[in-house]
Amino acid sequence: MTTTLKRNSKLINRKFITYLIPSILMIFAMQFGSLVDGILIGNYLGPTALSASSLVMPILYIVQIPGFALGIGGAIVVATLLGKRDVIGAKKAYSFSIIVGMSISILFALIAFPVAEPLASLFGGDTELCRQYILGFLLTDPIITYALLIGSFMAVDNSPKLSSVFYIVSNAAKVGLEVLLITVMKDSGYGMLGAALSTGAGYLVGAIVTIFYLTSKKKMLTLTFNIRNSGAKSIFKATSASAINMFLTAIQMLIVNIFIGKLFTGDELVLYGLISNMVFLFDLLCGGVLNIIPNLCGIFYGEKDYYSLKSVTRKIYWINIGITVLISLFVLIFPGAYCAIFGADYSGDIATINSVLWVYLISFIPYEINKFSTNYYPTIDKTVPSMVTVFLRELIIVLPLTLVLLHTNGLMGYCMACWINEVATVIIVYIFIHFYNKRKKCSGIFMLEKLDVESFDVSLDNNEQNASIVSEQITEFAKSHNIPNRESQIVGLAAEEMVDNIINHGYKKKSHDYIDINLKLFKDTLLLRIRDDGVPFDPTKVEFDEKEEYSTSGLKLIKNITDKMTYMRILNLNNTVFEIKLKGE
Amino acid sequence: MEISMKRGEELVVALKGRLDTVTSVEFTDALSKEEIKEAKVIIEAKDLEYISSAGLRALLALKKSLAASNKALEIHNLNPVCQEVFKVTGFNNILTVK
Repeated sequence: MTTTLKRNSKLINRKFITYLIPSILMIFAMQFGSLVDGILIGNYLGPTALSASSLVMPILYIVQIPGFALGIGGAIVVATLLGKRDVIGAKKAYSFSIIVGMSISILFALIAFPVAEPLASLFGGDTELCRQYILGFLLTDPIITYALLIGSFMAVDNSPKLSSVFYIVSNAAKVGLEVLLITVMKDSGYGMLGAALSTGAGYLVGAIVTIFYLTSKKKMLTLTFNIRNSGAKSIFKATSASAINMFLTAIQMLIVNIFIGKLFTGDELVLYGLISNMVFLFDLLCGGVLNIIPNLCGIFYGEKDYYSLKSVTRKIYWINIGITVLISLFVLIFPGAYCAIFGADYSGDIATINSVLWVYLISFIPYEINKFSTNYYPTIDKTVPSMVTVFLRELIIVLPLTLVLLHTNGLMGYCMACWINEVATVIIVYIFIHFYNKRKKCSGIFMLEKLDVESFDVSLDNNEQNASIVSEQITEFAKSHNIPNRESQIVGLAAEEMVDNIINHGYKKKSHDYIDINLKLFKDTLLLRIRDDGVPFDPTKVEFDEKEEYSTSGLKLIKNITDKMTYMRILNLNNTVFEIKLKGE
Repeated sequence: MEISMKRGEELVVALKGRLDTVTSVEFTDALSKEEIKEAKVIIEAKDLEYISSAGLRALLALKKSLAASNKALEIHNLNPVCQEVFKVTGFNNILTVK
C-alpha cells in the first residue's frame, strides 16, 4: 500500500464559506439598520432627535445585553454540546438561554413606563425625546431579545442561511416601518417613539422567517421547560465576556463622549465624528467574520477536532486582518471619499485629517486582534483571557489614558490613546496567555489542552479505493497502539463499509467530495467518527429485516458488529459515530 | 492480497491478507479467468486477516456461479474475526464453513 492519507481542511473549508457569507450579510444588515436609523431620525425628526438617540445609546446597549450576550454565550454552549453529541444537554442550554433572556426582557418591558423618564433625565439634551426613545426600546425588548436569541441558535442549528435571511428581512422591514411610524406618529409628538418601536416591529415581521426554522425537520433544538442541569454555569461563563464587553463599552462610550462634548467644538468635533464612525465601518465588515467563531469553533471544540478548529480560526483571524488592512488603505489613499461617505462637512485642511487618520488607523489591526480574543477564548471555555482583554481595553487602560491624552493632546491625543490601548492590551493579553498556558497545561495562541487520547485523523476524496486504504490504515494504527486484533479489524471494517456507502450513495452527482475520518483510542472504547457533506443520511434510521437468512448489506454488518452507532447532522454535515468496546482477545 | 491456487481433486484457493472493496474485484477477476473443472472449490482462509461485505458478496457470487454447474464451495479455517463477520451476516448459514 503506497498511498498515505492525510488530514486536510477541504471539507471544512466548504462549510466555512457557507457560514461566512450569511454571517457577513447578517451583521451587514444589522449594522445597516442602525446606520439608516440615524439617517432617518436626523432627516425626519431633526438634529435634536439625532443627538437624543446618540445620547441614550448606552442605555440601548444595556437593554440589548440579554439578547446579544445570551445569544452568543448560549450558542457557544449549545455548539460545544452538539459537538459532544449531547443533544439533550444542547436543548436544555437553548431553553435556559431563551427562558432567562425572555424573562429579563419582559421585566424591562414591564418597568418601561416608570423608568423611562428618570433614565432620560440622566442625559442632557431633550428629555422628552430621550424618554420616548428609551421607552420604545424597553417596550419592544422582548421581541428584540427573542430575535437576537433565535437568530444565534438558528445559525448554530444547521440554518446559517435562514438566520441571515431573518436578519436581512427584519432590518429591511425595520427601515420601511420606521419611515411609516415616524411619519404617522410625528404629528402627535411621538415620532421618536415611532422610530424606537420600528426595530421591534421589524423583527416581528422578520419572525415569519423563523417559522421555517421552527418547523424544519433538520432542527435539533427544541424548547423544554425541564432545564435542570442545563449548564447554567457554562452559559453564564460564556455569556459574561460579551455581556461585560457590551456593558463596559456603553460606560466607556458614555464617559468619553461626555468629555469630548465638553472639550471639542467645530472641525475637531466633525473629525471626531469621522474617526469614531470608522469603528462602525470596521465592525460592519469584520463583525460578520468574527460572528462565526461561536458556531463553528464551538462545535469543533466540543468534538475535540482541533485540526478543524485551528484551520477555521486561522482563516477567521487572517481574513479579519486582511479586511482591516484593505479598509485602512482605502481610508488613507482616499480620505476625501471616506469623509463623503459619512457626509462630513469638514472645513479644515486635508493634512490634519491625514495625520489624525494615520494615528487612528494603525490601532485597527490590534483592535481586530483584541476583538478576536474577546470572541474566540470563551468559545473554547477560556473566559479569563477574554475578560482580561475586555477589562483592559474597555476600562483599565482606555479610560485613564484617553482622558489624560484628550486633555494634553486633544483629538490627536484621543487617537494615540486608542492605539496605545489596543497595542498594550494585545501585549498584556498575550503575556497573560503565556503564563496561563503554563498553569493550565494548554498550548500556543489557540490555548488548547493536550488531548490525552491517541487519535488518527485523515481526509479522503470520494475514490472507492480509499475505502480500502483508510480501513487498512485504521486497523494498522489501532494495532500499533496495542488494540486487540478483533477490535482493530472491526473499526477498520466500520470505516470501509461506511465510506463505501457514502461514496456510492452520498453524492448526487459525480463531484470531487471529501470525507473526514477520526479515530480516538480511549482506554476502554474506540470512537470512530465519519463526517461527510453528502445528502443527509441517518444510517441508524435504516430498518433491516432481522429475520432474513443472510445479508450482504455493509450497513447492517457494521450496525450489528459495532457496539453503538449514532448519527447527528451538525454544520449541515453527516456525522456518524461508531463505538467499539475493547473486550480483549 | 495474495491469491494462490492449487489444483487436485479440488481447487484450493488460498487467500492471504484482506478481502475488501478493492481486493474482492481482484479475487473475482482471478477466479473468472480460471476454468474450474474440479467438483469443489475450497477457499483456504487461514491467512485471510479481514473480510468486508464486498468480500462476502464476491464469495456469494462465486458460490452462485459454482452452484449453476453443480459445483460446491467450502471456506476453511476462518480466523475468529472473519468467523464473527460470517455469523453476524448469516453467511455461515449459506456457505459451508469448516
